[in-house]
Amino acid sequence: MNNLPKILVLDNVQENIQSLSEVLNGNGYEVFTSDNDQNFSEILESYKPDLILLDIMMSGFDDYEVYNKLKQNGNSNTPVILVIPEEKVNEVVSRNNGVDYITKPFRSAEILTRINTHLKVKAILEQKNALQKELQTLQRMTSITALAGGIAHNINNLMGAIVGYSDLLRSNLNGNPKSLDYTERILEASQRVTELTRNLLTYSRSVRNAPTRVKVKNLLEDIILLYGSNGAKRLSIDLHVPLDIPEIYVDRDQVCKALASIYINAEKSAPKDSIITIIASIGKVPLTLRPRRTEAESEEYVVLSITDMGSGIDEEIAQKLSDSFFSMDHVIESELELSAASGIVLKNKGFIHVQTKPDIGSTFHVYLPKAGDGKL
Amino acid sequence: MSIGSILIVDDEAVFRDMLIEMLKDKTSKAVAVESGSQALKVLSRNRFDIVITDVNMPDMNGYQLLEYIKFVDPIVPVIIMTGYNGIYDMQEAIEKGAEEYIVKPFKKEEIDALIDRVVLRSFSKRNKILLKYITVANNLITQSDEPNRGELIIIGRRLLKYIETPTVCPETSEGNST
Repeated sequence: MNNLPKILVLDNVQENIQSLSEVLNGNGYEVFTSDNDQNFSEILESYKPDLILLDIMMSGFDDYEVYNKLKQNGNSNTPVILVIPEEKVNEVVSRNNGVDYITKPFRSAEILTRINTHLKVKAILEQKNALQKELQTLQRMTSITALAGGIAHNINNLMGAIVGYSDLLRSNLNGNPKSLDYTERILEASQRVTELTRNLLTYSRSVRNAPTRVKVKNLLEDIILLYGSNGAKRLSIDLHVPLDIPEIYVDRDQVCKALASIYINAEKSAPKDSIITIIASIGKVPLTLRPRRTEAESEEYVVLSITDMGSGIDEEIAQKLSDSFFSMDHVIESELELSAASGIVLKNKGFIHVQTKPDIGSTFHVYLPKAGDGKL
Repeated sequence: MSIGSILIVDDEAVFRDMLIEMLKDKTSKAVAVESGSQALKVLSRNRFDIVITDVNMPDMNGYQLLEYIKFVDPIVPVIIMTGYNGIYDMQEAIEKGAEEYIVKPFKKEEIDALIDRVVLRSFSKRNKILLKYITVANNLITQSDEPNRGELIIIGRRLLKYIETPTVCPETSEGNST
């Protein structure tokens, strides 16, 4: 794959095209040219240039028609530099507010500087748009989450009545086996609804978060003690927390719940008589995740790596969990726990990176922020 | 075991009705209200053996109600009901003075067991306080030159005996499991 910036040169004078191409090719740009204005829409579509150099005097067109068309064609973010003769400067400037131009005959240094500047501005604009989009998504997620939390609370209250009445019904059936079976089924289904609702409640509550300094070793020991059920599978838990691991700065309750989900998942996936390893370490953002997390490149995190020797999880789910925004659209029930965990970790300014290999097992690396000296 | 009276506080009508039904064999007097402020009104006129309250309610949440109750009557046991099952939620409830914590939804046997535990603990708490008062009174009587001293000493001893004997006998709930 060629990642050089792509420049489209539209000019009807072959010599101009040639000399521009030479300059640009020699300075790290990929150049595509066209000397007629008839097919430029197709060229734009297939070529997707980063910048366009346009000779405004192309034949067969009104002076600015090509320029206007370029701007209307969904390319409003692609910078266009007009190449004009010296005597047209005043006209161009008065007719096109803010347009940039170079005059013929051009100087290589000038054109390269202009191109460089425009590409930089374009990159900044694109970054700004991406951030705006991310902010909108975040705002939408926040309000949806709050809404979901409210609904989950109401559902849970009503489930309280459904479970309660079903339980009373069961003890009033006087041994009718069919009715008893039906009631048991209602209770079983209610139990599943309750679990789902509880996840939603926990996830939605992570919107309000109250971080404090948390000792990693205590937290992990609590989780193993409270959520571990290693009786039947005879699992061994290998917990390594070096003495120099700093405290983390998170909402303890939320993170406890998230780590518990991951731990429970590890226990579920682990084969009999196997080992679950939990290691705490200090680490930076892995290289593979850096393009998505430039802001946190140099920051050190406390990394909690939970490894099981199970059959591994679906690559797609692993990717989803590592993403900053996972889609809740098609989350199957078993994924919900882990998705909620991922959401909680993100809310606590950390993230999850999942490595999974079929039949070897999965490692969930949970990156959590270190507590600094100033944080209480 | 059965107890005198229970106050239920929850904003969901169908849940209140269910809980009253569920506690019918536990108490002859279960009163249900829909908000913290109503609970306070009822509490100002009546004494309850237990208060069971939801946390998320519109005007006053369960923890605020709990604090108020504890301020007015530190002995009345309060059970908190919520949808969250985090250990730190439980910790918070207990730290704020709740006697117990139950996660919604729950079954009859769960709330029954919880109430039994609370009642036993609350009786022993009351007994301890009464014991303290009676012991002090007995000492004062022994040292006084009151003409009816002998009778008073006997009453004091009887009271002590009464306090030291459990006032409620929990029925064995074994064999009830489904």
